[in-house]
Amino acid sequence: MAALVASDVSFTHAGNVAPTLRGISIRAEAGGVLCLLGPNGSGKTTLLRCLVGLQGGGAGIEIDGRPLSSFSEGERARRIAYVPQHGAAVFPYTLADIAVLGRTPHLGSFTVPSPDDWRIALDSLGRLGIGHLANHPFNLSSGGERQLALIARAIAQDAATIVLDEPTASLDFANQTRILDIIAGLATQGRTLVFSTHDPDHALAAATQAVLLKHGLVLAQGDVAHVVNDLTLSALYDVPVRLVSLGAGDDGFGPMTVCFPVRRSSRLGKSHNLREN
Amino acid sequence: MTLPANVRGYFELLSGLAIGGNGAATMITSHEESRGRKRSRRQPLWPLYLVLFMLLLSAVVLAFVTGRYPVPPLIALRIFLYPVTGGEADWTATAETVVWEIRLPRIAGALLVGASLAAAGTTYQCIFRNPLVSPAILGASQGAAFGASLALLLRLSWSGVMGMAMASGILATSATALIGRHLGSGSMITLVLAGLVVAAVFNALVAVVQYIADPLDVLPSITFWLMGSLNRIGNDDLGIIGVPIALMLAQLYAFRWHINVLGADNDAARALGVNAALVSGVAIAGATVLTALAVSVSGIVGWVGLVVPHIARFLVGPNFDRLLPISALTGGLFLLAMDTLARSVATQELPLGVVTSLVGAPFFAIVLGRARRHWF
Repeated sequence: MAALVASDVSFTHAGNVAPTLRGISIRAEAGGVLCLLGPNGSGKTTLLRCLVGLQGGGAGIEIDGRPLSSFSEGERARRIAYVPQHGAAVFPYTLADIAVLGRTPHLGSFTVPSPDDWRIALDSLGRLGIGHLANHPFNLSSGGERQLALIARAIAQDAATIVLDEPTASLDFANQTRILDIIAGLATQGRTLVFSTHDPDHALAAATQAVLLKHGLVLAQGDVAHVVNDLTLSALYDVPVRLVSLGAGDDGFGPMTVCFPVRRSSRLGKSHNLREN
Repeated sequence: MTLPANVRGYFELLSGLAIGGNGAATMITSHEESRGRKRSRRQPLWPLYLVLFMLLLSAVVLAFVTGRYPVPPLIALRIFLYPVTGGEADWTATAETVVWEIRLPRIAGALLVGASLAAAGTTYQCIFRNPLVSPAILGASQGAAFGASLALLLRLSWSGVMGMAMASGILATSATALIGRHLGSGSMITLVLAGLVVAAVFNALVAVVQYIADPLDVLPSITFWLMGSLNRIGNDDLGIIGVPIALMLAQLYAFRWHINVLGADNDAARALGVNAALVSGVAIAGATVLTALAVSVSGIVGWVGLVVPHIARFLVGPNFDRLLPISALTGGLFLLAMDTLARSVATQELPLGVVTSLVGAPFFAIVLGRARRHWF
């Protein structure tokens, strides 16, 4: 069953002539991980923001078979959570202050988070391994810690679907892997995840399904194993791409597939160097 | 109280790093581990409230006994309690007039105006996510001042003065917000510059009003009122502004958590179930009406709405739900202290706006110096 469906979603940013999204139709299966894959400027962020109703007024979007626009703000936020790419707090909010914001759709009108809500927020931070940083200021934290705090906020929000905008962008190698593991882990707990990235390796590592987005159009979509291949990736990025499958290793980890962009200098038969070009 | 929490955060960060170099490799820590580290989430605020109320009480007592006409504290207290306790009135009629008709409205006025301006400044800073804005910097004060001075020029009634101040203040704030949005929200300075533009326009309009005002009666009253002063407040004025100020503060308090969400994450607030347009409308309107009410009785008293929110944030952290009441209390206390200073420091009373500027501006320079690296 599809947890989140977009049917023929188009969007043009105010002041732009060219549309950013041109009739996109996608579906995210319940309990799956859907990856939006595409180069910078392909419309990934706009599509994600349309999916959660931050843009486009929810037109063409359905959650659990109901139109997004038929939900109240609170109802919507209890079903779908959004993790923005850049959380930026001006004032010295702590990571716990950020995480407890996720409890907002569960509060009664005119009330503030109860001790139980704070406990849930701290639990969420703890589950991501940053419980000890609960009182650390968000705006002095590293990019990885901020990303984790924003994911903790989404977990505290307790929504069945979590949408993450480039969760691995501007993170270092170890933190990228960490975030991908967390995404896969959240899906095994029954949540539906949708995330965007420009790195095909991240789709291969964490996603069950992929949507390849280019110039606001869907190039291909379906199971990662079928959709993410040499041909589609080469067309998506306008660079020759080669996928390599690695067998199970001695380190106890199973087989995996990785992808490489092919540099012109590595072509055989011609001695390439920069001076010849 | 922010500071100790932050310092503790740093220590925990350091100890966390010391415990395990491979701590970063743990993807999802177990519940038990996080539960072991759990502590009571928020420090209780009652000690701070206790201190603030005691300071407030001392400031009120000091304000009652300070002034040209000496009234000993005990006499002031007995005059004050006379309607309740009854008994023998062994004081002069002048002392009674001074306590009831002059000092009481002035003290209550200082508390109301200070609380309003501080609450308005706190709300603006949170909603615009900008520690550099205040009623005066956004042009709301100047807008309200123009409306009120126009009403004085037209010899309108009290309600006319307040109504004009509110309408003109809302016009000015909306203009600043629109210009700020048009210039782009990339920098905090943008909104400050937009406010500068709007304030300049309304200052010019006030100058026009002064230019055409009757120099014999209307002009002096406008000029003196513009400098910022509480000495025209009477007990009847308090009734008029007291109720709407209480209503506006209650409105901001009711929306305190949603205002906090907007202040923490403006972009994703709607994804957190907050009706962003409604909440920012309620907050900005509430703050602007509070500013207009304060301006219509006291003129432009600068810096309270800029400095007090920073003091309050230093005391209880950035969450708006705790910030608002502390800020309002601190604002009342601050303005009462400044007004008592203005009345007592020289043989002739100084305009209150002058005193708050002399104290507030250097204070804000210190605040800027301490916090600059987080903000720019």
